[in-house]
Amino acid sequence: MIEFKNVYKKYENNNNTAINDLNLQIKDGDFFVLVGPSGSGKTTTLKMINRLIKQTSGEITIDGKNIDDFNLQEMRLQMGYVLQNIALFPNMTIEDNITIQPESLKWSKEKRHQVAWDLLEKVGLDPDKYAKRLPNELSGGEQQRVGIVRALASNPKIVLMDEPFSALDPISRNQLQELVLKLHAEMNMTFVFVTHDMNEAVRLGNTIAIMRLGHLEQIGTRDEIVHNPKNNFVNGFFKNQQNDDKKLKLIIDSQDCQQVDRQQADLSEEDNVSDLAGLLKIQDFVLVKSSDERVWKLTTQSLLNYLARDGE
Amino acid sequence: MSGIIHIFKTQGNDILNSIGQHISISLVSLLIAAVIAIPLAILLMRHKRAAEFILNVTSVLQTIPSLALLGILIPLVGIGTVPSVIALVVYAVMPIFQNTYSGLTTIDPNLEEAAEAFGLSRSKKLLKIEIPLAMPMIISGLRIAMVMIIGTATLAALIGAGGLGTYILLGIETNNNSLLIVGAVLSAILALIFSALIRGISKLSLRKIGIILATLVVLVGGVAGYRVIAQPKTTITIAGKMGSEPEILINMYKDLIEQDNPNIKVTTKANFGGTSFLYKALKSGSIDIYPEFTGTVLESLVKTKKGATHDPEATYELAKKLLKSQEDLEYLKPMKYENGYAWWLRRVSLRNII
Repeated sequence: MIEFKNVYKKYENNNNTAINDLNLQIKDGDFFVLVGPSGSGKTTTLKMINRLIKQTSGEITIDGKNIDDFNLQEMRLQMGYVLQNIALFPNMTIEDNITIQPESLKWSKEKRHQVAWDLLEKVGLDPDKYAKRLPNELSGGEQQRVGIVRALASNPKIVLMDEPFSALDPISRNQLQELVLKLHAEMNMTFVFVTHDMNEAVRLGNTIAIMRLGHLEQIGTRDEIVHNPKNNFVNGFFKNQQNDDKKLKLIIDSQDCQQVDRQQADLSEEDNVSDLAGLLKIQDFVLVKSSDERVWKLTTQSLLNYLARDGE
Repeated sequence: MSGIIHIFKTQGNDILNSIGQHISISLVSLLIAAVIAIPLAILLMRHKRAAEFILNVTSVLQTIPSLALLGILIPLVGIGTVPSVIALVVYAVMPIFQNTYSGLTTIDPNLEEAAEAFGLSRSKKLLKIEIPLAMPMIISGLRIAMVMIIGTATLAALIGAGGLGTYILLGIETNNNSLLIVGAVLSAILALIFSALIRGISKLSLRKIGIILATLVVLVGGVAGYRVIAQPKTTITIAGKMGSEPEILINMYKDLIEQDNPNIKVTTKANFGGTSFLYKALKSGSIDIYPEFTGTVLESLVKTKKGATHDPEATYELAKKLLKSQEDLEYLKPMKYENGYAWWLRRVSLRNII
C-alpha cells in the first residue's frame, strides 16, 4: 500500500503550493487514476512516489516504510515507469529496452530473453519480428506498447504511468487502454495512472482521485465519482468532458450505420465523435465496436446525419 | 608533374617512411588527447561551471600559434617527437572536449528521466545510454581533431620529428615545388583517409570501438617499447640540415664511422631542421654530430664582435675556439669538400653593374 500523509510540495521559484496537504492511500493491486486539469499536481504526486520529485514536507510510505528509508536505486528497480513521451532509448533494440531493469537486477540472459518474448507476445507484438528492431522503426502506438512492456519487465509491484496515451492517435489510445486493463487483470500489480482525460479515468480506474490546484477534490470508486460527484468542480469537470466528447454510442443507437461481420474495430462506442471525425479524415469508413461486441461501419454520412440531428 | 613522378620513383621508400612517421605522431597525439579530453568531459558533465572553465582554458591554448608553441617547448623538453606530440595534444584537446561535453549534456531530458526512474546506476546510465547517445558528437570531435593534427603535424619537421612536413620544408628551402606539392598533397590525403576511417569506426558498437582502441594502444606502445629496447648501446646520431648536400655528407660520415668501428651504430637524421634547431639539438644531446659552416658558426651561433674573414683557416680557428669556450663543443677539422657559391647574371644586368 502506498500512503501519502500530509504531503506538501512547494517549488522554490513559485509562490503557489504545488501540492497542499495531500492525504491518500493506494491499495495493493488497485488501478488508481489521478485525474485533473493541468497544474493540478497530479504528475507531481506520481513522481513523488519514485522520488523523482522530493516532497517539501509530509511523509510517503510504501507498505508502512518511509520511501526515504529505501535505497533509492533498489526501490526504483522494483517500480515500473511509463512516460508520456514514451522515451524508449533510441540506441538500443526493443529487447534491450525492455530488459534494462532486469539486466540491472542481474537476471540471467535466458530469463531476460524469456521475459521480453513473453511480454511482447502479451501486448500483441510478434517478438521474432520486433525484438531486434530499433525504436524508430516502430509506430507511436507500437512504441508505447514497448514502453508499457518495459515497465512490467522486472515484475514490479508498482507501475507508475504518466499520461502514457495523451500523445497517441485515437485508435492506438483505444487499443492501449484495453491493453492496460487486460494487463492489470492478468498481473498482480498496483497501477498508478495519471491523465487529464476524465473519460480515460472512468474507463480505466477502479479508484479515481480528482485533483485541482494541488488539492484532492474527491477520491472514490468509479461508481461513487460518476454517480455522486462531491462538488461543482467534480461535476463540472466530468460534465464538461462528457459534453465535449460525445459518444459514438449515440450514432450507433440511431441506427445510422451498418453492422458488418468483423471482429476487429478501430474504436469502441465509448469513444468520442471527435475521434471518429479525426479518423474519417484519413480513411473512408471507421469500424466501431458496441458493448454487445457487434461491429458497426460508420461513414462520413453517418457523422453528418448525426451532426444535423444534433443541431435540431 | 614529371618532377613529382620522379620524386616518387627515386624517393619512394623515404616518402613511405615519412608517411609512417606522420601517421604515428598523429595517432599518438590523438590517442593522448582523447584519453585526456573524453574522461574529463564525462567527469565535468554535471559541473557546468568547471566545464566552462576548462573550455575557456583549452580555447586559449588553441589561440597560441603552433610555431610559437613549438618554440616554447624546445627549452623545456628539447626537440624531436616529444614536443611535437605535446603541441598536437594541446591543440586536439579542445575540439574533443567540447564535442564530448555538448554531446553528453544535450541528451533528451526525457531519456535521462527514464534512466533515472528505472533505477540505473551511474555507470550503467553512462555506458548504456549517455555515451552511446553522445557518440556521434564525440566522433565528430575526434574527426575535427584528427584533421587538425594531421595538418599541424607538418610543422613537426621543423623540430626534427620528421613526417611529411620534411618535404614541404625541403621544397621551400630548395625552391622545389614538386617536393612541396608531394608533402602537402600527401598530408591532405592522409587527413581525408583518417577522417573517413574515424567515421567508419563510429558505426561500430561501443565494445568494438574499445577493442580497436586497445589494439591501437598496444600496437603504438609496443612499437615504441621495441624501439627503446632494440637500440644498441653505442649509437651516434648524425643530423643534417635541409637539402641534399647535408644528407650526402652525413651518410659519408656514417659509412666512415661504421667502417672504422663496426660496434658503433650510426643513425642519420637527414633534413632534420633549420640551423638553430640543429644547434639546440646538439647542445641538448639529442644529436651528436651535424655539419656546420664556419661562417654560420661565427655569424649566428657564437657570440663574437668579429665577423667571418676571407681567410678560411683563420675563420675555422676562431669558430673552433669560441665554440669550445662558450659551449664546450668540439668543432672537427674542415672537410676537403668545400661549399662555394657562384653568381648567375643576365648579360643586361651585368652591363648595368659595370
